[in-house]
Amino acid sequence: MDRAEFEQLAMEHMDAVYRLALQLTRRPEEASDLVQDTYLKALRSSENFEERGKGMRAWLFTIAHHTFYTKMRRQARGPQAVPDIFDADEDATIPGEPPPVRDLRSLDWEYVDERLKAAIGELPPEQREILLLWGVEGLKYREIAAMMDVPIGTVMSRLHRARKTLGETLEEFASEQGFSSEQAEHRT
Amino acid sequence: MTDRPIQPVSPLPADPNLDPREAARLASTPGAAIRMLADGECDASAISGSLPTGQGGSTGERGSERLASQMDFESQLRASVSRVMSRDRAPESLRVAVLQAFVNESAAGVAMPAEPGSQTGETISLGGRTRSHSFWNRAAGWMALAAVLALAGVGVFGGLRAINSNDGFSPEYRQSIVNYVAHEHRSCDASAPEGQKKFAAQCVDGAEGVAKEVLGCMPDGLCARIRELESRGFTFAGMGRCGMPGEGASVHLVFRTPSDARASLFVQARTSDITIRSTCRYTSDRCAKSGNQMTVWRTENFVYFLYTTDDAAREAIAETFAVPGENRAL
Repeated sequence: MDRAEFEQLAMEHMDAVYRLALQLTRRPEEASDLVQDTYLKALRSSENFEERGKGMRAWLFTIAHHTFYTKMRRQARGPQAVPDIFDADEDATIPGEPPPVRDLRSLDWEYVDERLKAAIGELPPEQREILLLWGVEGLKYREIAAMMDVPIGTVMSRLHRARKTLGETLEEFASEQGFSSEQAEHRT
Repeated sequence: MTDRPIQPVSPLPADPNLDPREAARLASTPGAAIRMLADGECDASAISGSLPTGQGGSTGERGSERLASQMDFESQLRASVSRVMSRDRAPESLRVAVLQAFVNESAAGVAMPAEPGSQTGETISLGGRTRSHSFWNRAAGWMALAAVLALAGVGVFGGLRAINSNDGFSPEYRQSIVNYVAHEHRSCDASAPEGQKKFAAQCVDGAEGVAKEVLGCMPDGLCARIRELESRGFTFAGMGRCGMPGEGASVHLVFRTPSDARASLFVQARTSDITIRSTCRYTSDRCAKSGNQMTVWRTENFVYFLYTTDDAAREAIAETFAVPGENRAL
């Protein structure tokens, strides 16, 4: 891939890479730094990039992911403790709890968004990251696992925990709106 | 009355690269199976052993309804997550910074051999944030690179010609504006939802307000010139803030030309990054790939960048904006 092709292709994915960086760092300035680092690393390795296989977007995601966690690990070795991302449960046990049963069509989803956004913001970064890759970018479990270099079961487990948290948020919201009665009896 | 497997249909296409045996292993519980199905990870047939079974008759129907509701919940949750998390967009300043960093890397002759493992980005050390090791702040490196570039006579985009050192275009700056303009021209459609967000003014009457807000004042006769272009068969598609490289604030105007091509006009409050003469226009070579050419000129305190494939439109706009006739290579 020549330089011009690389630039064109890579720039098309900047919004997606920025979204990922923002979910990882939570701060726009740090997200911008992470995106810049990611693109420079990609540029420096662009001769090795093969469009076949993962594709440019997944490749950029992979670089951003590893750049972020490499930096966090370095900082963790420093004098200041880093948040609990390294306490993340790596247990790849497949979650068994089934999804709730609720007719969500009765909810006004537009009003749910702010509550959902706040709940997503409370999730640990590794769950936010998977949530974004799954929900927005449409990646399959297998692709997320390869990108993050973890077993598929870990992806499923983290995604399940994130969904569970968000599901509980929705249940709270539904209760406030008077839609709470069916939930318990329909749980399997 | 026998148990019968429920065979729901996933709302998403299954992952063709997930081995069915692996899918069956992962779907080891009903909960996992339902989520995998809702997420389009596999077909129901691959994990039917883990899906809930329903009794025949009305009980079976209730089981099917329950499963459908569970999948529906997951689908709606996913849609909401997508809606909430997809709103963020990379700021224009970041695009400019990345393009600028690309130029700097190119000017520095980066062509760094990729280290083992660099596909994952883990082993390359940048030695700090991109923002903090600005090329522009390193005078010695700048001088050395300028010398190398001058000797090499490098034209990095669309066969740009050699540097005219009298006219204040550093090769890096020129590269960054060409990259930026090409990118914005290609990606900004005033009629698309993203474009409507960027192009705050969708008609001539709104242009003045945007210009004053962004540029601080109205470029002389801008609205009258837009109207004149409309009378010549152009359609004014929109105008909004943009982030041209350099110090000065800038706006991006988009026109549909009489021959139905697109023309982008960027207007930037004069910046110290560019010291071109007001008696000349500066034109790039045509981009071999897109066919676009860029023409740059200065009027009073504003620099104009016109970008289009349409030669007739370029001349019409040049006439309307009283662009100097003397042409120099950009």
